[in-house]
Amino acid sequence: MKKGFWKKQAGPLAVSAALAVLAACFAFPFLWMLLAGFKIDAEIFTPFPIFPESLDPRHYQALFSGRWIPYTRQFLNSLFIATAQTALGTAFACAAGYLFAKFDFPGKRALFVAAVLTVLIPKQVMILPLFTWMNALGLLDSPWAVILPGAASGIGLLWFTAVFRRLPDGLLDMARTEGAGEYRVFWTALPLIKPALIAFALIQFTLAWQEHLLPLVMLFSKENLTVNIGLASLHAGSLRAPYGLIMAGCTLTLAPTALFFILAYRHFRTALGRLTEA
Amino acid sequence: MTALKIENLSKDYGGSAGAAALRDFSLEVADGELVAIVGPSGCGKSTLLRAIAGLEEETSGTVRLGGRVLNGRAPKDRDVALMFQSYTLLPHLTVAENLAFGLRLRGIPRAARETQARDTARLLGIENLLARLPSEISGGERQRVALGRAILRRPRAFLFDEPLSSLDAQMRLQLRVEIQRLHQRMQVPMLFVTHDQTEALTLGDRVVVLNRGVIQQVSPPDELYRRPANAFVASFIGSPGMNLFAGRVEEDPAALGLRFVSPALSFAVPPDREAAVRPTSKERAGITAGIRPEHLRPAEAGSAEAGGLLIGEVAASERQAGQTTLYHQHEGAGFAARVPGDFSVRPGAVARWTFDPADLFFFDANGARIP
Repeated sequence: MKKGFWKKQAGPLAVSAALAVLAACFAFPFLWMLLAGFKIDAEIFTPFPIFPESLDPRHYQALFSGRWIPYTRQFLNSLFIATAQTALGTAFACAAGYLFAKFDFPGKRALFVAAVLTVLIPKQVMILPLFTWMNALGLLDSPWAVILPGAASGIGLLWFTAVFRRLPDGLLDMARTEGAGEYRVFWTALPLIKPALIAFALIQFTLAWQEHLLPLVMLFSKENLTVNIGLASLHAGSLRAPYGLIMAGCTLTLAPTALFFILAYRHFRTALGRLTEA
Repeated sequence: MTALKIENLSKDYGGSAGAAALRDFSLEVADGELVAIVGPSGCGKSTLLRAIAGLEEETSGTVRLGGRVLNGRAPKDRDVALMFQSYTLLPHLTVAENLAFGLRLRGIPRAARETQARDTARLLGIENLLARLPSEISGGERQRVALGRAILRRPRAFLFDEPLSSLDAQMRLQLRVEIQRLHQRMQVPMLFVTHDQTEALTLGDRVVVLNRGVIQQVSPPDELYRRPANAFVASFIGSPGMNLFAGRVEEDPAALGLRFVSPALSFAVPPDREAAVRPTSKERAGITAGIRPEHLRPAEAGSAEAGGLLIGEVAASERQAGQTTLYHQHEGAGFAARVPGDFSVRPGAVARWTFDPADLFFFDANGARIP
């Protein structure tokens, strides 16, 4: 009987073992980063021991003291920019996707193609025109110079058009005959695509949080920088901050996206599953 | 007063010429009257309902409800309930919330909504489902909830777009009874669209037969069967529909009368019908004769050819409760015969049928019935 058990389970066990090794490979850098936040530089540059002698919070204290960079301020800047960009970007993409999927209007095809083409243009190409534009609007060195260019997304339009195309017209027609105006019909449709909404918001937030180029170009003063530009300046500039401090900053910076991801993962999976169904 | 008045309603999707989904449709439906609209798929029946509900814009024509013109109004301002073929319950709302959805859109307070939802649920026997989600109830129960939602807000007219076609046979029967009860209670005009003639004939006070967007006949159910207006209605109503034989009428010098001649069937025209079917010119000689499958009876071997004799090779036979339908092939034409009881004939065997000349129908070259 025991033999039979091993015979049956050998395949799945091998797969699990392989996946475990792979997962460890991916997780190790993060673990290393977390632990390095509690080490002094001399410890960081020796491979062993992996674990620090004590969980000394001195790097975290230094980070929050503002001695090196205004970390708290920059963290809040990032949070505001990412949140606003997620809210605006999701709202625009969702409304536009609904229109493209459920309504016919003149120029629809051309506009759709144009939106798809924006996906193909690298951001680096647009950075100079965007800079002059933001300058003209007087928004340079303000969070809006980062938020607005990121709020319109061709990918988002594609995503929500695909999502709403899968939504049966019958439900919308039902809402219409039951007494809903067109705006109300749209609101009625939103809960029906909740997983897709959350999944898109998650992607949008992660991208906005990671964004490096736009804040680097649009923001100048220390107090207005986002946290990842701030962290980069710790290493690159004349600051020469200890590596432990940088790693502590990185650990904290990862927290919001990781948290969001953990909370929304279930919906994310559902949305991807639904989109890839037949 | 006519409650629902449809005048010359047309809908053209702008496709190839003559491909109108609905052409010059006119109908008046009184308060408390249920008119069933039946036709093959693609005949324009759903288009008609969607145009009345305001979900699709008509190309021309007017729709009036209680004297008020509906054209150009948004669906929400028409006060018309439409029940769909697909399940149209919102999956994240409970049965109670789905029932009261229309009231919520109108800003009725929660307490009043809940009371009304409970009353309606009791009426339809779904009170025990109020707290459930649509995914937790059966297809029949979902359509019951959809029906309840339509009743709840007391619309000025009811439209049904094949609401029973996605249900199994037993559920369909139950809901049909439910709709009949509703029909007796609600004093508003109702239009019931279906492709199932049994539904149309059992539910409708009057039945409209629609084909390719054009009304073929409007009449009470039994009249559709007894006096079909044209060959299409004759072949559509009945299961299976009337057997039609395209042929011509000729003088028969030997019998001093008229004779109907077609590849599959020939017979002497009964004297009382001669005047009606006598061709007025050479072109008008083309005529179609029809006989219902249930009016055919097996011919005795060697019997005289009294009315006419129909001979065909049996291609298939279907046994239903208490009767058998035989499908024949003869000289390129197909016909069916329906006989009571178990009638066993091997496929491939040749069967001979006869009929009473009084059961014959004649249709002219345009398909219209010759009285």
